[in-house]
Amino acid sequence: MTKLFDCDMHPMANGIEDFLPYIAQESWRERFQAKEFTMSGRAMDRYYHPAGTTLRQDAVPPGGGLPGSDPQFTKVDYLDRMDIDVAVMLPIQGSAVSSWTDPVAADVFSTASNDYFLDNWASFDPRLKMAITVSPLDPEASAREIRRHKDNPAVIGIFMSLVNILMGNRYYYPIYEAAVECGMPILVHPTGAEGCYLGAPVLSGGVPRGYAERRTLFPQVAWSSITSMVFEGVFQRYKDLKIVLTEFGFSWVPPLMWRMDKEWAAFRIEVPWIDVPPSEFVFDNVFFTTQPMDEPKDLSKLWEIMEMMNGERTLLFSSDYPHWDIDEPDYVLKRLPEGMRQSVAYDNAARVFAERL
Amino acid sequence: MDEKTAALAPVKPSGAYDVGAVEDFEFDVVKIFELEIGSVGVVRTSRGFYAVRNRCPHMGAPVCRGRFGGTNVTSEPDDLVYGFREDVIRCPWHGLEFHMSTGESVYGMTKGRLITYTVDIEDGRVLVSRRRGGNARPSTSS
Repeated sequence: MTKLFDCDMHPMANGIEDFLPYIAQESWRERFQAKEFTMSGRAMDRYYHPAGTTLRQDAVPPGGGLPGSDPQFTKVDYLDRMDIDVAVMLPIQGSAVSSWTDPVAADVFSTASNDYFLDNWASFDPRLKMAITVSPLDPEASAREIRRHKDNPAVIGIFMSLVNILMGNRYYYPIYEAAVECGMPILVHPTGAEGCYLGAPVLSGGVPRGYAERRTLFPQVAWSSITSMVFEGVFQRYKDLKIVLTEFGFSWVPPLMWRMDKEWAAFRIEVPWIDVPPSEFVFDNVFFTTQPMDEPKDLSKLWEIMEMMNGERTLLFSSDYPHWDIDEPDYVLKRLPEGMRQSVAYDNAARVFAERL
Repeated sequence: MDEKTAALAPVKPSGAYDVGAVEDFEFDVVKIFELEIGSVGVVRTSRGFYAVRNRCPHMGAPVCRGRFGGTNVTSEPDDLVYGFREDVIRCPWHGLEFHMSTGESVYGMTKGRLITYTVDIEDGRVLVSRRRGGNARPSTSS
């Protein structure tokens, strides 16, 4: 039986009311309640989702509420049915703050989100582990939030949403420093704010018209992030930093690495601190998740890509439950080369998160 | 820097080419000569003369028409440290860097290397030998 370590699962809250008990200051409780509050970073005014929602409607709990909002139903519908051994929870609603402008509000919200999910989910089933949400608007506050959870064994990673500052920029270094100190990998995931809000990461070339275009282009953010981190020397400053790029796909990884290596040969003079081919940093410090799995007609082409990107070490299984574009474990496992199956399904993630397990 | 002359034949029994008087060479300016053995770049530095074949191993570019000087040596992030002074030729195509003294690619970043020729000074004349081989690489602190 193949063990499964899912690096991308989203527990949901049903509304700000869930978080209010975890917000100490009355002023902030009042403020969040008074606002017409949406716990989503998605620009629903701008983009119409063809399915009406990003959540699986068949995953609505029997008692109602959002898909993924009931730990008991999630246990049955997800952990047990899919036979998941370890799941990394990424509370996607906390990443809504990447479209906000108030760093204090973002910090209060992220902190409340973390405490809510730790209290109600992480303690519910030992298979559920947390990637705490940290705000990208105030890296110093985020570093404090990371250290606050340093000794909590349920917290195994950091879910960092992005603003329109590339990940190699020193702006983020307080977060990286805390991550390394606490032995927590940083997970990055599309938040829905990309290309929708001033201040959120942009998509290049212009504004996509619809969901199909926009979703196709999400990997641009990952390309930019990796390139920035590598060339700005992040992995030399923070040798033990691990970055897990979730839901950005992976079939683009080999050509990105070729291109970085080629440009490095031409521009080493600009980045003389890069003393080995940039692709080596990618192999050592950056990890990718399987969902959404690309689906070429000839599966062997995908296997070639997996080999080229050292997938037996860099690729991690992810489902994205309870989102509409979920990849079922069986579906993914069948599409992995046999020799890589156990590594991708479990072993690679176990190694990436080893310090926290 | 890109001065060219008609293809020169060897003038010495040893097969060396006389490419001019020492004082005809400005310091740190690569002069290019069309010799029977091919196009060769010659530079005068404070450590002596270097000569390399004017052909980049990457795509065959006239490498000696690139910028000559030093380059940034390996450093800590955000720290630029200049070194390898008077030794690095930077190919005008793709920016690959080579040591003029040894022909080696800077930090071994490319597989290929430049062909180097021994330069001798006799009676104030600069003689480029047919013999391949260069001088030791200057230190980074130079």
